[in-house]
Amino acid sequence: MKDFKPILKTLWKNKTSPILLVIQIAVAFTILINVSHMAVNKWQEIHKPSGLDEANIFTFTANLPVEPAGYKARLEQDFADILELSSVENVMATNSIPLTNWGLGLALNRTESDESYITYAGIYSMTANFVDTLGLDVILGRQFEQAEMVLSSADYTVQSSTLMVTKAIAEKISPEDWTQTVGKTIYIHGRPYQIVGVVDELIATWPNWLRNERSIIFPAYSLTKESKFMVKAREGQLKQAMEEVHAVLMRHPGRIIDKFHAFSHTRDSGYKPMASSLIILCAVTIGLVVITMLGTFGQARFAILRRKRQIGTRRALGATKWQIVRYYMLENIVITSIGILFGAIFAVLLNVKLMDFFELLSVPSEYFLFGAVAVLVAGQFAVIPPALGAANISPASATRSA
Amino acid sequence: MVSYYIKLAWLSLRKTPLLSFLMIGTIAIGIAAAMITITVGYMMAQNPLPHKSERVAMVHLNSWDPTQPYGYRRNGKNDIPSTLTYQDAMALLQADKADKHALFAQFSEMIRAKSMDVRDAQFHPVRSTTRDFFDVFGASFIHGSTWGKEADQTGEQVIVLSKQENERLFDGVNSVGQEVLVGTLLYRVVGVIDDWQPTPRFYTHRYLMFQSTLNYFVPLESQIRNELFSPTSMGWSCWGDAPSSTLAQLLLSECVWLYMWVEFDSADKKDDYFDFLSDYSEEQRQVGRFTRPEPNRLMSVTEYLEKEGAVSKENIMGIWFALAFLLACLCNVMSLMMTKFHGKGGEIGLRRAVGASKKDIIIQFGFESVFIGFVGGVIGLLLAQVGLSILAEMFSNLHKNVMTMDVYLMVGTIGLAMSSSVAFGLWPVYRASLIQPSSQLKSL
Repeated sequence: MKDFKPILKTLWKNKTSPILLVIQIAVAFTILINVSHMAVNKWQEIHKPSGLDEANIFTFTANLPVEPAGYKARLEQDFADILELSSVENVMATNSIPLTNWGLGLALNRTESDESYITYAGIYSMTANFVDTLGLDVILGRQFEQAEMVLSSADYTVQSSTLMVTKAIAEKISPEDWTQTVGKTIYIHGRPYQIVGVVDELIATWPNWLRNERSIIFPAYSLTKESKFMVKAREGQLKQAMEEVHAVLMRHPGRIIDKFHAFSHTRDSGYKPMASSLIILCAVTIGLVVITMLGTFGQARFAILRRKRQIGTRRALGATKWQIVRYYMLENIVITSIGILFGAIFAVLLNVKLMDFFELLSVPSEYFLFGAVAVLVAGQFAVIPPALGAANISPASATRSA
Repeated sequence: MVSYYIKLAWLSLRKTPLLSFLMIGTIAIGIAAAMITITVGYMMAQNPLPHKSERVAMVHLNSWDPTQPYGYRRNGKNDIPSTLTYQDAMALLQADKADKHALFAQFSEMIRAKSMDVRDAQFHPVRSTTRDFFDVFGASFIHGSTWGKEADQTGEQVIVLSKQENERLFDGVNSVGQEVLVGTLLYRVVGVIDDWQPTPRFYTHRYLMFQSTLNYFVPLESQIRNELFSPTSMGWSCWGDAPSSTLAQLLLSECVWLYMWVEFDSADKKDDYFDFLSDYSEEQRQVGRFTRPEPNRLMSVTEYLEKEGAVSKENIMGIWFALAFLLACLCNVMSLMMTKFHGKGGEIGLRRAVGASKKDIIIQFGFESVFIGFVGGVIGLLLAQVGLSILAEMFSNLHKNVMTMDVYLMVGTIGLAMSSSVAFGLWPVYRASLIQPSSQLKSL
């Protein structure tokens, strides 16, 4: 500890290069803290469970190549044809496919007035079998009964009087105890709907929506010229099922099939922009840490170069190699700590700014702790090589030249 | 003299290869990171119609549900729809109060040239619009022209192709007069437009602003007469008891789905047009529509881009992060320069002793830092190009125009590298010039 005073004194005497290093460390620390927090958030967002049996599901859009009056019969026949295939376990049609960025969102209210807003929700309207096809987990209440399911060409929000919600919605409706939700009535556009069941998870169609765990399902499907199909293949037969379903549907003249993808593809492409920004965030962080370590290395070398004679003198006066190394390691800790101190202040300021920007939560204090430890360790790694070099300066060098 | 200093700088860099490499590399990496993010931000914030962005405006009418607002703006205020119902769009079009009108929607169909095999048909989105679309948004024709006025009224089956699709269907020859099958309907080609990608593609929704333009254009009226309708891929919003299965029902409904832009000969006419819109909604209020309180909007291209925020917050943040990264790099370079010039104490002392003034020393090392900045800038520019092409690969949902540097940006890159290298070299250079000849000569 007795090294502290001379360290502070020397740093004060030659301020420029330590100040530069302090700035670098402060900038690096600020960014490291905030970026890693954002990266972790993004990671969680990307890996949010969808509630679907993703590995076995594939989806596509197909037209119903008949006159509007025949839509219902055609769709039911298509279902029957697909179900006949041995590789297919179940099939359904939906107004929108999860994570494809195309769908409907509506505001839920507690009463008829829109003053009693609860939350915004992703809207699904699906045909029978959706629980099995998607692999949803009904954790409370019941599924829709066969009699409730409607297939018609009118708007689905008009036809039904019941709906199912995800657990995340249930928690918004009854914040005190979500298990009380079943049986309650909510209003959409002033029209009442009774909640009959709660599913554990079902992700809405927008990957970028932070609240995309909030979805509701209507037991009614609106028939239009085009239908979005979701098919569950038998375990391990996804590829075969995809080929067979395509072939079966293409038997009809005038059939158009579009966006024919395994669900894993849908997930990947839905989250691609987010995954890409995650990679960029990581690259920036790594780059910054490397640059800062280089800076530390350079600063230490520079300092040692200038103090060659001083080191020689200390050695000549009896300082051990370890004492020399310790001196530079301590010096680095002092500089790094000052950098971290400033960095922490900037990090908090930046975080406040980012919070309004991205609805981010404040950075938890562990980030500061781990960040500080990481920066200190990186600094020590960077300073050891030049410090060892300094320790090897021979005492005789002090006596050489003036 | 200049060439002498450049030679000195070059020799000096050669003498300490590791230090020079570190300095140049650090600048290059910092500059590349900064320029990649700046390029994306800058390209996204471009004015896509610079010569008439104040004369072209988008019409937003507040025909929405009396019981609740269409949505909420970022500032928490109620929003109104940015698309129109069919009846309102047609009423405004027929009133013909602006100089040009571009009204548009879209649908998807299987498309092939009449001469092609049915198996070569491809499923494509088609822009259904009015004849002024190309003129208002600045698309130019390489063959033919837009369809005539009558086609907008009679729904004549005519089609305009992009250069790219003209390549696919007709091997790039002048295809005007040829026939194309849209679904089962025969359309006659009247024009082919040149490569065209406004960046941002300002005229649609903000989520779609950096996507490619569509490749087929037909009169809106022909979509309606032929009942071409893609309910599961177009953008539309409804309220109340909305019918949703056929186009005919959609036309009668209160659903909003048509984008409408107008162009004026002079920007002064905008106020008159806004008054006309107010009169229109007042008229509609008499018959029980337009009962919401929020006013209509008539937004110029710049206003619309500002409202929709073409440059996302994430891009702005990216630019700041990259600039901070550059700052860290430059601090590093400065520290390396200090080391370097310190090592040259002997040389400086000698030059001073044989008659070089402080100014000469400053110029000599100033040149060296400019040189470092220049080389770092050039390498940084190359790295940035590599980075941008990786980015274009990663964000394939965005049009690659957004990730392409223009000449200004390239010159700017080198300029930024040189100026920051000089700025951060000032202090080390000044320090070097302070070295006393005597102190150094003693130790030689």
